[in-house]
Amino acid sequence: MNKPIGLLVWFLALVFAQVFMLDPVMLGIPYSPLIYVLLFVFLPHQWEAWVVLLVGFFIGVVVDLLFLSGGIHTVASLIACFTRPLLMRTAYRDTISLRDLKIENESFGSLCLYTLLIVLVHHLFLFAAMTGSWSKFVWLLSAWGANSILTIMACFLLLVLTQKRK
Amino acid sequence: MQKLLNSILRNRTLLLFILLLALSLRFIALNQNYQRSNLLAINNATLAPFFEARHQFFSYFRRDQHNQQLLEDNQYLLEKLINEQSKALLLDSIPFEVIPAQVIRNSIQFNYNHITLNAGNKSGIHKEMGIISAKGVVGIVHSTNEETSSVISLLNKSLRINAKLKKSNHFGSLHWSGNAPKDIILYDVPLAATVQVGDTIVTGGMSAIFPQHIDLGIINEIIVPTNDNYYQLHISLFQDMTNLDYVYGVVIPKAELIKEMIIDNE
Repeated sequence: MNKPIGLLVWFLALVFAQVFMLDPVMLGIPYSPLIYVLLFVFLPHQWEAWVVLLVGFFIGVVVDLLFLSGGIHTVASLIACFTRPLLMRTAYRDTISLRDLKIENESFGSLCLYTLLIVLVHHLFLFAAMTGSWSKFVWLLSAWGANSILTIMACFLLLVLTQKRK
Repeated sequence: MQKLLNSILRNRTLLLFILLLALSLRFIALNQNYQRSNLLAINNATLAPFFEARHQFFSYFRRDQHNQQLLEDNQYLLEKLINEQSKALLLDSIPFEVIPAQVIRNSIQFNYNHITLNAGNKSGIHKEMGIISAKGVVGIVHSTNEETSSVISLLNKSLRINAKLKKSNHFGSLHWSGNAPKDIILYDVPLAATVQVGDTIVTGGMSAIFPQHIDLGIINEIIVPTNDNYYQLHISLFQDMTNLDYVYGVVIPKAELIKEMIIDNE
């Protein structure tokens, strides 16, 4: 998972699936699971924070270009990457140092919690950037909740499938 | 100087984050003016073949649904034709033709949504052409290439359409506020107009894009602002924007002449 080629394969597969398969109009639902967020979970935790920021920015720009969504995915991805160390410490609180952390040795529950936190942070800022105003606070909360549930379910499914393969 | 450099190096992650965040917010600001954006045309040119292939693939499995939609469209148009024939409605409108196309991509989840059609220059679709379905207005063409076109959806916050009350000819400006795909607002209708929930809204025809009397929707909520002389009318669209398939480009004869006249008047 931590190898660059593996990451590239995940990047291509998730972005392709996101754009061409998880289209809300095609699926007949108002929101679609944003599975590309899993990429932030898969990024090696040993990487320097500024590298993670650049990678997050790049992923966000690619998704925005494909979706024609301006910069909302870039903003959300950037903030998710910036808060990543904090989220990681929350999910893996028993681990002394993040540099010594080996996700594959940690419990699946911690991985799920880490994914959940990243999804919640990413989606909150995605919908905040989309509304851009406090007057739609109720809509923001409902959209955030509904889309987060969809994304978390899809991400957990992918995590379970990839866990089984190991 | 050395201290400054050290400080920058120490806080490089935070500084990089602020820089990239500012850049991202700039992207959002630029995206709000679709007319300046060439991204839509580039996106259309590069991705349309993939969306066309996807559309072909899924169309095979949805052919029954497509046929059903065509049947419903035909029924709706036939009924409308019979109802309108007796009226003098068409006498004061400009006769127009339509160019059929199919939607191969449709976004609904953003504030600035777009639609991709499988017809372009070759079929006669051109920039700033109005796109309608059997049930009403869909959007306006932003850019085209030989085979495909990009359309600014009615569900795009930057789009405003001239509309009027069917029964009284009071004009207003139709604008999506970014909420539910079915909820769109008609602004600028004066309080002097008599409006009721259930009244029909149609295009105003004050442009070279849409002829008048194209259906838009019905009023489902009337808001009377306290400090304004204009209604805020919430409209339920006739066309479900989340379920688009067959659409039509509207060819208005003498469109260039109308445009010139509008520019002269302005």
